[in-house]
Amino acid sequence: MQLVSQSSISEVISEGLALGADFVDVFIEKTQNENLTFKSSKISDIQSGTLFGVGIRLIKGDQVLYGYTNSSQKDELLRITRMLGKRFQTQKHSQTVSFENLKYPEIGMLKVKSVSLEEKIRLMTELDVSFRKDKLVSQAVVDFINKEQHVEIYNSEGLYAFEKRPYIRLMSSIVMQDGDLSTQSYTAPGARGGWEFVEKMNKEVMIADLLQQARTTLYAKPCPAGKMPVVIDNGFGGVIFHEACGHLLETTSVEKKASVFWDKKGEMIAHPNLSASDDGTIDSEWGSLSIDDEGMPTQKTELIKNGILTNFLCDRVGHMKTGHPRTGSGRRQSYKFAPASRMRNTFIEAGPHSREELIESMGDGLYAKQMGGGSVNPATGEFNFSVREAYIVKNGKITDAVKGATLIGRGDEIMSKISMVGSDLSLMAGMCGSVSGSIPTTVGQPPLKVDEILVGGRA
Amino acid sequence: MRDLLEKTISQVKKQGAEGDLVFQSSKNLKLSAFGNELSEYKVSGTQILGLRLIKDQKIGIAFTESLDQDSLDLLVKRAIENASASSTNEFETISSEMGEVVDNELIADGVDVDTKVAKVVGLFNEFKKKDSRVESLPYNGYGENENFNLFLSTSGRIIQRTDQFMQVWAMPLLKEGNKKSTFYDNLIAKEFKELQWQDLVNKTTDLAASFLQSTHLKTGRYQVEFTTDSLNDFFQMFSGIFSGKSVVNKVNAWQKLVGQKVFHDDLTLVDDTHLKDAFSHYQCDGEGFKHLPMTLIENGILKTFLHNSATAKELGVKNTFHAVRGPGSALGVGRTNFILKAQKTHAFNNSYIEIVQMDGLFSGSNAVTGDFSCGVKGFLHQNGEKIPFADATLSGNFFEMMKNLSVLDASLSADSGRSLFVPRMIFHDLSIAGL
Repeated sequence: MQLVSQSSISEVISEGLALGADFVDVFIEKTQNENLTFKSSKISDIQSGTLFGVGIRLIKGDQVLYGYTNSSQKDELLRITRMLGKRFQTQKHSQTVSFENLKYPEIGMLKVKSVSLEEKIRLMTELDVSFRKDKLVSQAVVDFINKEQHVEIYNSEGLYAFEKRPYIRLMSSIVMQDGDLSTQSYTAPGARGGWEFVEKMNKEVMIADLLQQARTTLYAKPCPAGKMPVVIDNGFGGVIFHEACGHLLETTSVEKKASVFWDKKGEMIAHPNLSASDDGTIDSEWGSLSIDDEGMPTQKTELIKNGILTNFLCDRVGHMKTGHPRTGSGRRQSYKFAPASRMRNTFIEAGPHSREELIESMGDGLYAKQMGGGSVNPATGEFNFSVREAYIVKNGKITDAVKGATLIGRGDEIMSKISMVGSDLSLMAGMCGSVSGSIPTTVGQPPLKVDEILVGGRA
Repeated sequence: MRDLLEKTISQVKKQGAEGDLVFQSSKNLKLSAFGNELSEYKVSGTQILGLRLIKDQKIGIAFTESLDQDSLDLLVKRAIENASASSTNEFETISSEMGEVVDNELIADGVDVDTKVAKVVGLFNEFKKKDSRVESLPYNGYGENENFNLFLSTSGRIIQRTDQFMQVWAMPLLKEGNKKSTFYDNLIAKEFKELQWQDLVNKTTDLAASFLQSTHLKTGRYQVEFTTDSLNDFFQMFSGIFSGKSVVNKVNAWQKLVGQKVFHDDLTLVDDTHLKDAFSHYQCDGEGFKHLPMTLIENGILKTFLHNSATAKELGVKNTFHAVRGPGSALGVGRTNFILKAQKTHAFNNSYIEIVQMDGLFSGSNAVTGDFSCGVKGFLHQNGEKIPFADATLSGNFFEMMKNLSVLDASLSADSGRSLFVPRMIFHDLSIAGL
């Protein structure tokens, strides 16, 4: 089903070209959302809704004009196009645009399993009961997020592409209290898919991990401060690469020379033991796409091979401005944002070492088992990210649990300090915020040893 | 639009339910430049309608961005379905307030788009004029929003609000040898003519230039002063501590501390939407009740949390009329303008750290425990010198930090959004990791 008639879109694109644009594209989105919150042992909120909008982009030279509306009416789309196009102050002969359906391999299942509200509430109830079996749990909140984003993309080169993107996420957080001590821990697995993802989840392991994480941090001492070696464990540990390097490889920063890596393609930017990729094609993964938000089929993009920068993540505007090849990485939160080069499923490739080898080799330092979020300034490479669960390592042995650690550094410096790479690669879902909004991305890595990093804690 | 909403309210009543509708629409313009060229020109118009429906003491929420009749019918149907699957909630009701309130903060701008474009395109030259080491402006722009909100309830409450704001932001990248430095800031105003562009150029360039010369701090414990914007980040991060909803949800560390000391004795915290110097003033809260000034903490003692009608009823206390609700969200609680007043001041002549930038506070904080850890930049004030530092982290506990401080000057300064007003304070004994 087409969300807006092709004849209307053809007129809009023709009008944009007639007003002087070199390139025009139209992004149409209809997203169905359903959010359930289970709190204080009962279902507390159920929300559902429909988001709909159309984004129109006109490009002339380096100039990008963007407008959007909730209306699907041709007159409103033409009004937005004319409002944008008058900035060009040029006119061309009008041309008719016809469209050809883009053929591309579909990522993930074409049909996903859905279940009733009652079934979802039953699962949330079971999780709540399981968490509360631990007498120290004073509150448990389970959020269930279900979303289907239907996108259609047209452009003045005759492209028509569409995709339905189902997303599912189950987020659990618990508060644990013991006298005056309290702590909070959470987990948020997600996938591109439907209820089958929830069915396949090992819920017993998830519950046990969450309770263990809370119990550990409840009694943890403050983390010591200073520079030290750190072993960062797999899964969400990949946020270090995401922040310290991934954002700096997006042409959104590179095209402005606002990345410390903008002129380093072909050069050694990381330790020779390190290779990394961004892969949008992994079946059912949270950050996977069949096509990006510019209608290009997605791909696996090798970013770093044995320490050498091999590729950037590049969208159409990034390609125009830098000449680097497009990688199917043009992404946006919704029709309210113009696309920008963004990460999909980004991870450091597995290496040869066991986790134990990494820890034994570090002498004294910090073992960061669970990471939190972080941020980066691409222009300087300065990054920070928080550690949710960490332990002191003495003489190569894990000892006391500590809390309140933050790791900070500069991307270009830290990448050469990742000296050992483990073999146990795993991926984890997250949300990434940047110029084109908040999008689902996956981070991942095997366990890594960083020779030295500044750990923020209690002096 | 009002007719459409009134029809939807009638549909809700026909279903034997109560409810309120929140409609929001906005018109936006966003501009940014790369070098001396306009690189982004974005115009938009959006709308969204949200329904909170209560039937048989069960609540359902639904929203839509499409406003055709089919979508509105579906909105009511979904809210009914969601309510029927919800648990009973005996505390949440639709306010019985009636009558119409019109809240208009729109001011005619009178400045054409070309003037605004010219200002954005000329921004890079202004930075270059200020300091030739400015290599680029990786983030810069101008944005304006004109908003229209309409609230309608089945009991007959109608609130119409219009407002607008303009923003300009910039982050110059300065380069000297191999050293690079940036500083980001933004300005907000009700009218284009109020925006002091040159102040933004001067402040961000001067601070970025300072950090080109930054040194490393020694790891240790320091006396710390924060900018009001940094303090506002703390108050936002730990906003749950003032919320009656987080007490109901059993995630508030102060839930048993009403009547006890939570801030330093010298401090009193008031929430007041009507404060003249504040940027925004709202006549009514998210349930349609009139806002009133409210003292939350008096001489360090916690007097009350912020409440909506449901949290107040559940906890058996008075409503403070601080309900908030967006079109797609459940009924919540939120502050308006916070004013932190000081009773006494103290002399202070020791060395201290002035923090002007915090990175990663939100990801590095625990809202329940008050613990935080984040990257910081600032200045060490020592023996009359002001020494810039970077590559450091700050760690502490917000709840403890607000007790262990000295007020140096009772006169109030505001954050850049003019929603937090604080005296000048030095916070004692905070951990900083550097060298």
